[in-house]
Amino acid sequence: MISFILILISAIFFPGIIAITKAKFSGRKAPSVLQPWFDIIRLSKKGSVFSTTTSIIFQISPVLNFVILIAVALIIPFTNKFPGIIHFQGDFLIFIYLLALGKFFLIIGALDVGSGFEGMGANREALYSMLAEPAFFMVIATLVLLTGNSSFSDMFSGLNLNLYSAILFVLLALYILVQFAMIESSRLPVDDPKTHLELTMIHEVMVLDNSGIDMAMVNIGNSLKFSIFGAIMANIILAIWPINLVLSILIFLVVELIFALLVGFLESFKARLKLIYNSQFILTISSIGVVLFLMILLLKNQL
Amino acid sequence: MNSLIIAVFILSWFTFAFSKKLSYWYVFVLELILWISTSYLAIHVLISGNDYISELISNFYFNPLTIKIDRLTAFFILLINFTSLSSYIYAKQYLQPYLKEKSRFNFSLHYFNFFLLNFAMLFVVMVSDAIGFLLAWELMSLSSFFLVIFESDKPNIIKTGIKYLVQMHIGYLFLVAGFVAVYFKTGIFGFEGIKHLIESTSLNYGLSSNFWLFILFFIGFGIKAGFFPLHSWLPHAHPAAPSHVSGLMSGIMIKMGIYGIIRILFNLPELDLSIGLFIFLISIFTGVFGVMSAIVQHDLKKLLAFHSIENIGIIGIGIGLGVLGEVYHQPAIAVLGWAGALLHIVNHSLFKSLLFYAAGSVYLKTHTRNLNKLGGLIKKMPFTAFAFLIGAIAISGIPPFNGFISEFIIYNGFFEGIKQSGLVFPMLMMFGVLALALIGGLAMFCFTKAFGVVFLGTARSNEASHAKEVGWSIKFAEILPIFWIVVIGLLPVYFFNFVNVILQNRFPLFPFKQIAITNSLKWVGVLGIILIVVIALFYAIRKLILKSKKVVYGPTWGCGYTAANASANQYNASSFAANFKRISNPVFVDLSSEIEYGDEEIFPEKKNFKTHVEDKLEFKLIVPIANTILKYVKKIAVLQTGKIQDYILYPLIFIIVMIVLTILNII
Amino acid sequence: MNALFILLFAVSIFYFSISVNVKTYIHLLGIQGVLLFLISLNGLHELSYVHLIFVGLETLLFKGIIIPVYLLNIAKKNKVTNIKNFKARRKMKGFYLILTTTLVFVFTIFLGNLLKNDFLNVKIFATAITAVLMGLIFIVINKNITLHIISFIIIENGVFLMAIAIGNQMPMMVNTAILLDLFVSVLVLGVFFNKLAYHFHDDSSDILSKLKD
Repeated sequence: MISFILILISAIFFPGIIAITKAKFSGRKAPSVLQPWFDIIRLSKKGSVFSTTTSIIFQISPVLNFVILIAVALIIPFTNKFPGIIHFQGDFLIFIYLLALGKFFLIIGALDVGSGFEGMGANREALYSMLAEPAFFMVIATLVLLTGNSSFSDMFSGLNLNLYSAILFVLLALYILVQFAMIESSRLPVDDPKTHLELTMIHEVMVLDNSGIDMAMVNIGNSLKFSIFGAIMANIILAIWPINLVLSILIFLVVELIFALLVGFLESFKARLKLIYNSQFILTISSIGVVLFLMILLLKNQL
Repeated sequence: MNSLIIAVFILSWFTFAFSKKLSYWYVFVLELILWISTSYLAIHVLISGNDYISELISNFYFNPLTIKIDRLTAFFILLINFTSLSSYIYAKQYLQPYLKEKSRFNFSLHYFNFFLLNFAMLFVVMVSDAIGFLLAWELMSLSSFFLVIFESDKPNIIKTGIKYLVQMHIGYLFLVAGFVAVYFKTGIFGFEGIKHLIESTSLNYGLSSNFWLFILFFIGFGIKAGFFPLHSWLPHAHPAAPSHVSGLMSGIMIKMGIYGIIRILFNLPELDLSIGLFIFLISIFTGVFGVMSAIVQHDLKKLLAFHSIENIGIIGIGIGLGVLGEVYHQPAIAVLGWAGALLHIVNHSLFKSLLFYAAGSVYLKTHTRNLNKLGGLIKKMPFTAFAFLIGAIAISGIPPFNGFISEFIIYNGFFEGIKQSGLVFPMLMMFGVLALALIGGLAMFCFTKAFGVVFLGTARSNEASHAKEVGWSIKFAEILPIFWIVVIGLLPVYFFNFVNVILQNRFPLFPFKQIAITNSLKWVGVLGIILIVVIALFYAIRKLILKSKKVVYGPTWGCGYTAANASANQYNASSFAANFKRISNPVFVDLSSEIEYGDEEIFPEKKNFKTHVEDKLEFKLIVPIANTILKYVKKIAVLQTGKIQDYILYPLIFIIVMIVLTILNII
Repeated sequence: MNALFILLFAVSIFYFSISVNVKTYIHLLGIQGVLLFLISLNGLHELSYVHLIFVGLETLLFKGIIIPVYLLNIAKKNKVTNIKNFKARRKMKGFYLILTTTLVFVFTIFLGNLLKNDFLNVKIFATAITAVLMGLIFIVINKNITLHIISFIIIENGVFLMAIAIGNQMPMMVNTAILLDLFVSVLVLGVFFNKLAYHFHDDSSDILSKLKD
């Protein structure tokens, strides 16, 4: 329960902090922290425009994505003392595959519109999400290897390593998770959310034709996704050594804040890769995940 | 019960006496008797746990023909019967356009072979001594050959059928060789002989003689199942056959190969590491290869055929995990592996037959299988679109349907394996996790393409824009698998327990009811139900909210270019797969044509462009070898003159030569 | 702490597979030199101080600073900056190189497990063999002489690591041999660029076969 409330709290502030960071780095005047939520409220008051080519799939896809993200947020625990509302052995598989279900409907919702733009975004998104999945699986597999438990709620218990190896693991796992979160939420360097050229969009163009309350749900979903990944990262950091409750909550919120600042920082200073190099980049992240798993395996066997 | 089975077989020969419509119902009645009798026996065995052994015909070939139904057989019997039922119901409306063209003999032959195929498959799983088994196997291959070449007036269908028949017989040779080798080692000609094979086994990397024997059988069964180097008949036979036959073949006939492999593994007294590693690695390769080849296809049924190869790979991964778990003395992991594989056999037959039925409905109403000519069918054929969507979600292994459940069980097996100590075993498990993740992602890519291009968007050709929905009998045939897909997805614990019943003899001391995965599966089912309910609720709330707002409908934004046909602007199948094609080059041979412009061409004329991919293994390895053999065989074919005098002359010469040689005491 | 440096060394080999700029390659070589210094400090226990200073000089000074600076100067002088501008392109795309690197890494860990004994540090051994094999694969794929020299230095780094993996001490012989190889390769590169490429107007290594005795 605690983690769900904390995720919701961070989701409220997340997009605002990213926008403020980007504005400060580009020398512009920053908007208010809750500005994205004013946008969402404005969107939900509007009506909708639907294309005659679309069918029920287009209408059901934003609803489905929204519900899935809320369901997935219920699985994330808060360290190993407070398991998530839903927890069982192998729940991280439900986590990943529910996100895959959301992506499935996002892609066919985009193809439903029957325009070339959405098709472009759809096929790029399908390829990149497929190449990025092994990265997350490898981080989870390393956690299973270290702690011997296969449920999210037990995995973030104390890692049985000496301090240096624990720092090694945390550093690399955080690097992979940050990149994975950026790829999944379609941020730089894979996809630029602020580009206005449809030919270069990936995620933005898939939701191009949504309007009104559908667009509001998509925006809420985006910020929820970020805070869910931030929660996993905070759990990994908190797993190194046990602390009391209040300090843990504080560290959790600070980690989410730093993640938001980091996203804003990376967005302001990185350029978007050429589309041909995207698949190479994502495959490198997955390979580094494999290297991490093998290194921890060797360390565990004292080789 | 035995007399029923024999009587039904004899009665089926009279199908040829009936008219086109009546022969359908005649065979339907015979099939019903067969299904009910065998299913009754199967359910009896599953519940009571005793094997059913009975003699059908004594002195069939100097030995009685006995059938032996144990739990594994009972499992397969139920699966065969269900798939044949749905396939036969589908066939009625599917074959309707052929009523005018084909003769009465064609129809009767088709239904008769349908019955024979069902009968032969039942006997393949029920008979355990070699001669009866091989007889049933041959009958299965022959009857499926006749079913495949139903549309024999098209030129390349007979060629495909012959290709299929030749490959099946090559596999048959290997099976015979395997059984003969077992006979020479143990003196028993059949599956029982494998139980007596003794060989020293250990956890080293040497190859025992059991391994080579297993390879012999694996080639024979693997040609039927469709493992990687032996798969080349699958992508040709499935599109050539009519859709109910494709659904039947893909749904259950290729599982007969898997049945053979499982039977051998269950009967081997001790499994060793080389067998486990071999199955594991080749299944990983098969799975990834199958789905990579599927993405670049533009024929709907060929795409589905390659996905069958991929799912056979997943079943093989489960079997490999089970064997590896037994070799490393981890019964928990082995149970998860075997249970996942067996459950995936059920799941695959359900959603693959459903997908083939939906694809067949599309072909029936639009007369084309080319993805680039379809589109927008969800408005014209909503039920078919719904069926295809459920099949697509299930085959990508996505919750809340049944594909996720079997992959979940195998994944859990992998993660249990990662927790073990040692270096090699966790590394193998890592490979398995990576392979399954990759296969799942690629399958999602492929099926978003297939569903999106066929059913969504605007129609890309005239036939697609005038399609109509199918009749009630096809809808009923599709509802049968849909029902089980949804039930297995939402109530998985019962089916996991059902599959564990089969494994109880193999792992007698294992606490089946107390493992953690039963709790997880219960949660997965509950989550699935809640998810569907909540999504429906939120959708209803959204509709309510939208009623009070202003909703406008208009055409899709064409970027200001409205003169062209709306369908020309959207992505089609080749463009969707293009960025994957660039990175999956090693798997296929690209025979696309290029567009060339002349030097002085200022205003381009109309050009033609063709994309076509071929399976690399077949194109580079099998076709050149076959062509070389044909070149030499053609020289010998001079002897085949077609005149009856020559054909009498040859044996006459042979007889005279034999007599002379015997007199001279040379032979 | 050692594990982190070994891991960063392995990751640097991955970045070799995907880089496009020659400057990135040279920076990675510098980073590898520094990492080798840190690994050798941790891994070689039984050395006298003199020996340690020598090893430190060799890795930190030569591989970490001098050679990258020299290579950067040569690259700037001859305007070889981007692989795409080379006349001799490479055969394998970046995507497949990463897959190959991952497979080679897994294979070497498996190999290290087979050869397991008390003296062998499998992590360093696996990374070393990966470096050697990937250096060889780079030489086979590329045709340009600058990349050949860079791959050669990667192989030398791998050999250095192998010496650390097998024991706690490093005889002077090994050190001197590696230094000699480095001198020879850098000399060849210098000669090549100052004389040969100027005359033949071609930067592919095929022209070396045109040289007569």
